[in-house]
Amino acid sequence: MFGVFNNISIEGIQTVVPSRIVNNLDFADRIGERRCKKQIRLTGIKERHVCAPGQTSADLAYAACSKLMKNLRWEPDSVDVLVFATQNPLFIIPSTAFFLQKRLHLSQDCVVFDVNLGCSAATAGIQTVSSLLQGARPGGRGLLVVSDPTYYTEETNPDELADQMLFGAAGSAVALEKTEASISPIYFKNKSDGNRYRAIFRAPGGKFIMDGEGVFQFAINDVANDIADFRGEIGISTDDVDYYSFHQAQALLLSTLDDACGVESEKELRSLEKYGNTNGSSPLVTLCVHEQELKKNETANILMCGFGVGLSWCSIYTTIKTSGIYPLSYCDDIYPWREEN
Amino acid sequence: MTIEEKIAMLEEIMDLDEGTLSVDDNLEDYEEWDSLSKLSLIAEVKKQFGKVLSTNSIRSFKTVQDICDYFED
Repeated sequence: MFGVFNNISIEGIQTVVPSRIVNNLDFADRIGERRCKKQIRLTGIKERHVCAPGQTSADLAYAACSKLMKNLRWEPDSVDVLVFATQNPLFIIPSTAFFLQKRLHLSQDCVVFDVNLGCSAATAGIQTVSSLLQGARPGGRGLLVVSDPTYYTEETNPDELADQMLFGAAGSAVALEKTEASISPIYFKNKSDGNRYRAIFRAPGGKFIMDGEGVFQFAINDVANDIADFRGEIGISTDDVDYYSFHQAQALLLSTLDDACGVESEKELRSLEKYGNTNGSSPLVTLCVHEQELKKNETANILMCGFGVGLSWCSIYTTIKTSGIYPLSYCDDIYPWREEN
Repeated sequence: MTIEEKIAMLEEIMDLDEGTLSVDDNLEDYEEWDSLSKLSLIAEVKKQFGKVLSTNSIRSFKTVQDICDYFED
C-alpha cells in the first residue's frame, strides 16, 4: 500500500541501549578466527550492546518513551495512542503495551496494543500510529515504541552463534502529533509477503531460524526495487533525499542494496558497526547515533526503510525537524514485573 | 571476464590466497565455501549482472568451473 499523511508530524525520536558492550572478536575461539574475522568484515558489525540478564524489551521501551515524553514535555494524559512493536513481548496475554501504559501513567482514553513486527517495525509502526491518529482530536498525540532485547550468548554451535553475533539490543520511541501545520507530508509504502513467512521463523519453544540467502535475495531485489519505485511514486529523485536510514541488517547487504536502487553511499547513514543489527528499531537508532550531523540543518529529508520477518517491508519519506532527534542514551534498569501481584 | 579473473574473484570472495583455486576443485572441499561466501557471490552477481542468483543455482554449483560457467552467460 502506498499513501500519504498530510496532517501528521514527527515531533521526536529517542533511543536507549544497555550499557554493556560485547566485542564480536571475542567469539573467535568459538566460531574460529578465520570465520569470525570474515564475518566482521562482511557484516561490518564489530560491537553490540547487550541486555543484562533479566532486562526486557519493556525496560528499554519504557526508558525510551519516558525520556522522549520528558524531552518533549508531553504530559501522560496528553497521549492518545501507544503502539509497542516487538517480537519479544513480556507476556502472551495481554499486550505488553498495557504494562507500558501503566508504567507511563497514560490515561484510559489512550488506545494501546502491541504489534508483532520485526525489522520493518519502525517504518510500518509510523504508518500504523499515523493511521490511528486520523481519528484523534486536533493535536492528538501518538507514541510508537520499538524494542527487542539481545543477551550475551553462551551458544557454542558456530552457525547459530554466527546469527546471534549480528544482533544488538535497543529500544526507540517516536512521537507523532496530529497537526494542521505539518512541515511535510509523511509518505509511506508498506508491503507484505506471507508466501515467505518461513524465511525468518520461530515456533513456540523452538529455535530462531533464518534463511540468510533468501532474506539477502529479498533485500537486494524486492526491497531495492520498491525503494526506487517509492521515489517515483512520490515524484522525487535521489537528489531530494538528504539521508537514507535503512534497517541495519549487515554491511554487505546494505552496500548491494544501495547499488541496486541508486543510493549514494555517503547519504546512507549506519549504526551497525557499534550497535549491530538492532532489529525493528534500527533505522531510528541510526538517526539518533547521527543526531549531531543531522542537526547541522534545521530539517532533513529522510527516506527510511525497514525490511525483514513476515516478510514485511515498509518505506517512509518525510522531512524531520532535526531538533527532535535526541542523542542515544543508556538504560540498565530492570523492572521486577514478576514480583507484582 | 577471463577464466583467471573469475577464479581471482572467487578467491577474493572465499578469502583465499591468490593461486589457491583451480577450475576442477570441488567447492565442498573448502571450508571457506561457507554461507558468507555464498552471500558475497549473490552480491557480486547482482553488481555485475543486475540479477539475483537463486538458492537453487547456488546449490547446483559443485566445482569452481560451474561458477565460472555461470559468469559466462
